[in-house]
Amino acid sequence: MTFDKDRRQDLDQLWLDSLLQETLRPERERDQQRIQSLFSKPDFELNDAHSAVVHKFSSFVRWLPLVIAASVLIAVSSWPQFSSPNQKAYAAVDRCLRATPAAREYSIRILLHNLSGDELTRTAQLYLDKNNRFAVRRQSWLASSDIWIGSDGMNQWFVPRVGPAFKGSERILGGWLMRKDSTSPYLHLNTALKRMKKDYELTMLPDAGLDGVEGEGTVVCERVHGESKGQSKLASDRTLPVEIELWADKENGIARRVVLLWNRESNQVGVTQWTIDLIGYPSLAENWFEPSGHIGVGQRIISIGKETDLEVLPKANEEG
Amino acid sequence: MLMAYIRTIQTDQVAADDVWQETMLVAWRRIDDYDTSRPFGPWLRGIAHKIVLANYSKTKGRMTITDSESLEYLSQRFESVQSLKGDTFDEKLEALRGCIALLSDHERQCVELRYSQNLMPAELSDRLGVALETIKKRLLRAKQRLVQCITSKMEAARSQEATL
Repeated sequence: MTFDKDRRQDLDQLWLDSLLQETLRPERERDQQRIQSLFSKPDFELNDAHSAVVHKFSSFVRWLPLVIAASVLIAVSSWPQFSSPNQKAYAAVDRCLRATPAAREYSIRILLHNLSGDELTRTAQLYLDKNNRFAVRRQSWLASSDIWIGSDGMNQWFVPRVGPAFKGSERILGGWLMRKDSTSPYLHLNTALKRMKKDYELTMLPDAGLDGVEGEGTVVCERVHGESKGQSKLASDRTLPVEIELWADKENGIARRVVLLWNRESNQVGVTQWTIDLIGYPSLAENWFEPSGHIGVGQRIISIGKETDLEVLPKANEEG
Repeated sequence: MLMAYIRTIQTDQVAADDVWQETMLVAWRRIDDYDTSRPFGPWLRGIAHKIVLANYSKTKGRMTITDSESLEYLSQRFESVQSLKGDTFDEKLEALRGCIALLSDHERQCVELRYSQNLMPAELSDRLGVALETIKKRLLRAKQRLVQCITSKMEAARSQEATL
């Protein structure tokens, strides 16, 4: 830059003017109209090439831990297949999964460190059913509306606050999510499950009581502790939890609580703990695990990629 | 953030909307050209920059900047906002809200009225019963302090990132 100090100061003033306008007089409605108008244009259609970078238009990265949480709850169904000597622990988990009711609702309490070293708390709701479908609801940081992410068992989907919803194969959307955050290489759902099968050692802890839901009173739970094996990459990986604790109803095996702990120092940015608690057995709409169950009036659903992309899913996960 | 960048060079709101829309459509059509290993913001702003210059003859009366060097400098300034903490542009602007809170009461009042209600200095002078020259000085001083404050926050965030 060769221009003089005065010119630079003038440009800084223009830059600041724009930031001040965004800060003190944000035009949310106009912004939304502009985005809606863009997405309604016929030449604004999505294809595979776009899916590689479409994440840049949104801030989905903050959603990724929710996918992990859902995957962890689903992942416990794989634990009985693990090759570990502690068969009682695997049996407890197995029983827990066999007892899965039609639908469950969990609250998620998320602890994380920010750049300033402060500990923050976020909350979300997670809905699961016995067919491994899930939906996570979180309030948008910016507005009172909700943002949804989920899986209908075949495809993953996002319903953002503004603009169209996206639905696509795990291969495509998972890859998209991973590219969004290069420091989180294990965000792909199936990759995460593979790592957990391979790298966690399960043991039983003493039984303990938890408050029940929907007037149940105190529920006695079996507790299973999963810890990443010392030599595994998980010990240094900050994406997946290093410890997992499952509280399963001793009487019927239903998962009541899952606690996840990440390997992070106090000065490291990111998630440190999740506490996922069962809060009920809701009756959900037919399309609850599909984006159509959560889109707003006039909000479109854009399909990313082709169904045939699912055929290469195993290959996409080989690195795990 | 793209819209904020466009607004710095295109003062007319409707024209700015048009540039934003055209930028997004061009980006959509040329998505194969985008190098995913590089930051996305400068690529988008580069497209906006070309669109603005291409429309120069039609819109020059509403443009504040026309030379490439200045546009590039502004693009870099917006890119540096990325270093501030927060996922979204609005969350990153929390740093600027903190800077506004540090201004003197007089300066903060001028800045808030100027930008939240879009009042011009003469209107501020009438509203506050303060001489126009005083209002102009307060605004100028406040904006200089805000530039210094937000710049130092961005530098601190960058050095913190570098040490992580």
